[in-house]
Amino acid sequence: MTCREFIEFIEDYRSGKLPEAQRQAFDLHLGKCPSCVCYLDGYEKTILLGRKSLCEGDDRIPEEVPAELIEAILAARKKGE
Amino acid sequence: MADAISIENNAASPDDEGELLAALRAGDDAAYRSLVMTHTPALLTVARRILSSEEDARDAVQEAFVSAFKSIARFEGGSKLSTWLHRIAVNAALMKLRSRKRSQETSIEELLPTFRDDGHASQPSSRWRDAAAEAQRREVRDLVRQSIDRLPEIYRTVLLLRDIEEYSTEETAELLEINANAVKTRLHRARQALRSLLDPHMRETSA
Repeated sequence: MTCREFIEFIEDYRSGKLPEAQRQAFDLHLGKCPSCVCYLDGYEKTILLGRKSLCEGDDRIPEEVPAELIEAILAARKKGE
Repeated sequence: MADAISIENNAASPDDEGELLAALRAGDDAAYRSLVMTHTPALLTVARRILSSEEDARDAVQEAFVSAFKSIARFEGGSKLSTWLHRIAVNAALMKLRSRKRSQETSIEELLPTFRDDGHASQPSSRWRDAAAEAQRREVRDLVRQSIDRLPEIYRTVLLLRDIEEYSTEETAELLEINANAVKTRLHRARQALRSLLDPHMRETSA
């Protein structure tokens, strides 16, 4: 297996959808390719960073809502009745 | 904030969704206000993620509610109201996105890994620092958001819907009007491109 093949099917590998023989080939490649071990590590951390950066901390859903937007939405409802 | 309303002050709403639905269908103004107050923050958050303009995001949320009000009679309760509204808001934001052109997009090709003729990586990858710890830092979260925003639109939207909003492949395909295989391919390319953008900042050896 090459790095190109490993990276192309990395998601199938991660999701456990590969047949056993293919999975073993992936594991074998990882055992001898430190670069792909690091690539996989960074790929998974990319997903985690995306989630944490957009869904947590100061980026979580705010507890306050813009008053003028609420009124505009309710006014639009009245207009559409 | 003088121009914002705290949701906690809006306690006089029926907790039971069936009761709320009945009130909405009866045209109860208080029920409509309760619905809008309760769900606007989440809908505005998702619209802001899809549309980088605050004005566009607010327009999309307003359009989503207007659309929901018109079809509230047909809402069958098969899903939660919040799930139903979320999907309507995503649709409204995507429609708005399609109606305008974006600039300063990075080409996806130059962000994908490259390989030698024998199929092995041209540049060896390096190990990254701990992502959970890094995500505690505001500058890292800003960098991630800015990097996502640099992705070409067709990849960025798939990444947002799959990895952030956690829609399934099939739901994402339906929302974007593409097939499931295209969703999988775009998601993989989007993650690879985002990984490339973050790589110089996340390597264990970098500052």
